[in-house]
Amino acid sequence: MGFTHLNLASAYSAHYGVNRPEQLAAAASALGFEALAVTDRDGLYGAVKHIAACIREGIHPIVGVNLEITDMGRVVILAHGHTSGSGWSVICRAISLAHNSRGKERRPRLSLDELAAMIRENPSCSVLIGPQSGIASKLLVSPASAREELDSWLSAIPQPGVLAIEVVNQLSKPGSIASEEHARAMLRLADSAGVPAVITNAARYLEPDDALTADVLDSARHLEQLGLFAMQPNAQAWMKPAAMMFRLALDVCEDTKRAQKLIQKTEQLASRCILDPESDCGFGRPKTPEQQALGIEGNPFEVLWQKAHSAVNERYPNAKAPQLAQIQHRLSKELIAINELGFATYFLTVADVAQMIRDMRIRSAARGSGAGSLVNYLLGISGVDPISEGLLFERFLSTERSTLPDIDIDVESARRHEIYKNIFRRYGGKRVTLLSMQSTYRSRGAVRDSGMALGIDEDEIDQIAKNIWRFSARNFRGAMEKKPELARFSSDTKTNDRLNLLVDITERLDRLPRHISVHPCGVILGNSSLLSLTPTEPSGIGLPMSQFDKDDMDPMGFLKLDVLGVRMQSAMAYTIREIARVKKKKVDLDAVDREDKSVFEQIRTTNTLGIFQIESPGQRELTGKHQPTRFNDLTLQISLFRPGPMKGNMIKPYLDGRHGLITPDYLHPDLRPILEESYGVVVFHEQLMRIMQKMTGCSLAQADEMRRKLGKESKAASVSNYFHKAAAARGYQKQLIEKVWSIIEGFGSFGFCKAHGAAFALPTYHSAWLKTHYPTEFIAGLLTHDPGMYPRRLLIAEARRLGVRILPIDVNRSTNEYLVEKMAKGHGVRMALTEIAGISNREIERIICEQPFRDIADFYIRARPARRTLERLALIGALDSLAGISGEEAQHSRGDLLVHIRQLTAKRPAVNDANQLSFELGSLDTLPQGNPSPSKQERLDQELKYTGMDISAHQIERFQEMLDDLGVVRASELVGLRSNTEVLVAGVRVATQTPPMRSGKRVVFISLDDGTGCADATFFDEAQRRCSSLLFQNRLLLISGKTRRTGVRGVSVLAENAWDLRQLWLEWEKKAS
Amino acid sequence: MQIETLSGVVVDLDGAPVCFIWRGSEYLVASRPVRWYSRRIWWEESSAAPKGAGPLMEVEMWRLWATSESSRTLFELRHLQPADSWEIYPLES
Repeated sequence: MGFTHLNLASAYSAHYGVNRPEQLAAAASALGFEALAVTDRDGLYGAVKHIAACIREGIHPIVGVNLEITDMGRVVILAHGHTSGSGWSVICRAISLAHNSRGKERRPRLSLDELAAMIRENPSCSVLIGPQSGIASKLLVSPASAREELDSWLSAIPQPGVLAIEVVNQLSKPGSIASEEHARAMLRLADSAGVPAVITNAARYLEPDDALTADVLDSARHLEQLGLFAMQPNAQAWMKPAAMMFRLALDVCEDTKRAQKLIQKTEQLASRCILDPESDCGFGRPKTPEQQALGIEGNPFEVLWQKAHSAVNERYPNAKAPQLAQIQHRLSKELIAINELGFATYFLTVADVAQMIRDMRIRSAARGSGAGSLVNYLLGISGVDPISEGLLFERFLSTERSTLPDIDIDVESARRHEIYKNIFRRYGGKRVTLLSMQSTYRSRGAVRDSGMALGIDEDEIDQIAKNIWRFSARNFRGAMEKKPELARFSSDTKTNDRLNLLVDITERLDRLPRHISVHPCGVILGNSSLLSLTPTEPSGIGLPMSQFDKDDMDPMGFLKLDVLGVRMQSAMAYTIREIARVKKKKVDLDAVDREDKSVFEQIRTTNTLGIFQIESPGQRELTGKHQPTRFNDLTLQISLFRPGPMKGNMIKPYLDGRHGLITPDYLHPDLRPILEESYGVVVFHEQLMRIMQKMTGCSLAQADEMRRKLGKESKAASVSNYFHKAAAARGYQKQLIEKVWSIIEGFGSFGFCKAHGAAFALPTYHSAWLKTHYPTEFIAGLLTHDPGMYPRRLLIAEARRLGVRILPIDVNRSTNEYLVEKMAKGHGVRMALTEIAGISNREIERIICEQPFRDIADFYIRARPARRTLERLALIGALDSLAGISGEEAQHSRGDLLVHIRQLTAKRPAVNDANQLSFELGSLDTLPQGNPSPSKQERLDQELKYTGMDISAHQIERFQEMLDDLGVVRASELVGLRSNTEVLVAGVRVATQTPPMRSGKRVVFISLDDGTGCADATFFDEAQRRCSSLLFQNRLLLISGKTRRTGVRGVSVLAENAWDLRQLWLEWEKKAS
Repeated sequence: MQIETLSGVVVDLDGAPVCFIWRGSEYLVASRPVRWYSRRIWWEESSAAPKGAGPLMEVEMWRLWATSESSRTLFELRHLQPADSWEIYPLES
């Protein structure tokens, strides 16, 4: 006789289960189990992974859910298998109901009546009443009341074969739940009521050792430190082998026959619950909206053919006969492949969504390999012409694979939710859900929760967490010995047991799922049976979200559409609206000249802040070396600045070739056309595919299959074999074949898909174009939608550098956006009210609605700001113009205004007494006189404190005297210095990066902003040791080092040491006085 | 209450106590001993808990009736590892 675990939580029972489904299935198979259930708490979060793992391990999958029944405790509901999906459907719908009918209350549960009603309609499931049920706890005190509760279960769910008592012997203390004695009582209860009994171990981990991890997870779930909540009784809840389960059954029954029957019933139920992945869960069957939902009639392929062909004229209006022939040829090739794969409906669906987005007048752009498809270009899904950019369809879709392709659409982030809502409206709620994602423990979160479990002081944990950079929790101990900023912590662990334990349990938490949230861009589109295939729960944005994540999509055959909110698209859309509003000009970015010289000039200055994809310190440096002159250069630059090409050391030979320092080596005249654009360096997947095609005569689709195999060592040998033979057969020299092969082999995972690069390069060019031609409006767009990696205050500094006037917050002019304002001379950008710390949306709305205001009293009455807000508005100068104290000749100062405001708010009368109010205020509406105005420095401090930005001046200016004294160089002057010059640079730290390096050693890149631009400093090992804690914590820094020229306009500082600027200032002031 | 320790506990193949000497008298186990597991405050008692550290968390316990020449008593026995020592707690008689 065998045994099957019917109650087992995976790690996807967040903060409860310990092991991932893959581990569980592999262990089950090793223990000789033929089937295994996963029954996660409140959902099917781990179910798809479990089924896939079972298929891989050759065991039968069983799926259930652990759900709370109102007032009756938790039970396990198992889906019956081989029911053409009705078992799977009933648990999906039960879970969705448990989550969705609870409104805001974040505790999913079902009432017994609700469950009973679902089972009446579809009795394809079994309910296990076990140790977490109300019956189990009642049994401890009164067997009679336990029996009563069982009777109410039985009268609600009388269908035979649905209810079962779950006997669990976890060897806990006699007299407690899941003790041997208690298990025996459960069995007796079942027997006396004539309900079948089964035995499980209510397992939540794989091995006894994992119980420790479970303790810490329990602590995180209860938000209490260990020992301060009801903890698991012992470490017995593991996936015990069959022999041990038999023994437990025997101990409970104290009778061999009865024990045999218990095991037998368990096995019977198990076999009833074995799922057929395909017929029960729809595994591997692609599901797309029905034709009528897409509004098409007839054969979908014919519709697709028609749509694509009719768009050729529009997309290629001036094409001559030979080019048209090329287009037709390619189009036929793509359409044949799509038809062969049966994906016509898929393309029509995506095209339909893309059209819907355009109809909503929202900016969008396809990203990813989808840009390689002419069909996508013709259907308006992508905006990049794959023929002129040299992109290949086969990289995107190939008849050699049958998984649904990924098409990602970037849209304005601010309007993303509108799109989601429209998708739901268009296809109906039964065909659409949002995608979810599981956040897992990363090192910082793990160290925080472990610290909480151990009761370590929060500030202490904060300090440790702050110094954790870029390593996974599982390597905590290793990292702590290597990283200088953790050296002190490391030595502390040797004497402090708590801290030492902290390291071990932090490692244990690594990558365990923590919580589910809405995926930032995924929408699932299915047919009308979608809600029988996936459970859903409410999301923060009011639309239902599937419990499955992106890895579950392919096995489930779900069409996932990535509608990704890109802030840059919002910023650009906003810029265009401001240009239209203020300058009455209509800008169509898709129609602008892609070879505009002034745009590339602007990029080449390396002042790329705010330009999509190339504003990071590393990209800025590369821009200095690369000096792009055309659109394809942007594609190349974006593709080269990736971990792969960087690791593969591809950048230098490319740059050397480009600048004529070396003669490009094209290996063979046949390869020259393929490699010319990148000076002999293989950068793109597309190039590799073409080389393979050229030299072996294979098709591009086969070439892409081989490219994919290169990454896997076991498969690379067969590719090598084929390449050598086929190339030799086509007459290539042995030496050349060897040489090309060594490049192909080394290329492996290093290259980049050109379609990705080109899709990215489009918004890069668009944003650069706007920055060049409409800097004021563009800065307003950037500030409103904050698309980049830098703090807003750096955008203010960039505006200053560009000569764009930044106008201070003014309650009569500012709104919730950064508006471009006409001034006596030119234009300026008015700062938004949203930047004020602590101001509420309500207050902002009232101010905007009630504008303009006559005076302070009028503002106070109609905008009704909180006292704190009013004070802050005054402190940052937002009331200056209202109070008439902004001009040179003003009689009052901001000091007077502040006194006035304090008087006002101190006497605030009852709100409903409006007449009285205005009368009193009227008499108060005279500013006092003679109060001192805040100094320039005080103003700046207030701005920084309440808006996070230095608006009136750059915050580095206050140190200027000292910086001049020390001979500190400005960022803009660096470019004029020779290499190897000793320099000091100072500024506000705006970026810190520790990118992966070829050598494996850690390098820290720091960017300092001093108002003239950004100085980039590089810290290697030794320099990090001198000052590493400063690098991650201090905002104002002085750095010493040597200049390092990296290209025509590329200079960075090879750092030697760093200091805290404030500290230095204090010392300098002391010395000066 | 002072903790009483036992020496010379005889166990069967399963590890279940068979007989022991308590306060000078020999006791024979007279019921099927019930094995259960209690837990430790590992976060107070241990200085490390790496994966696979071993049984930091559990203590093996036995609840059993045992008889001497003159009495019959319900005991709880606590079996401590790795020292293989025993503590005894009389519960009722």
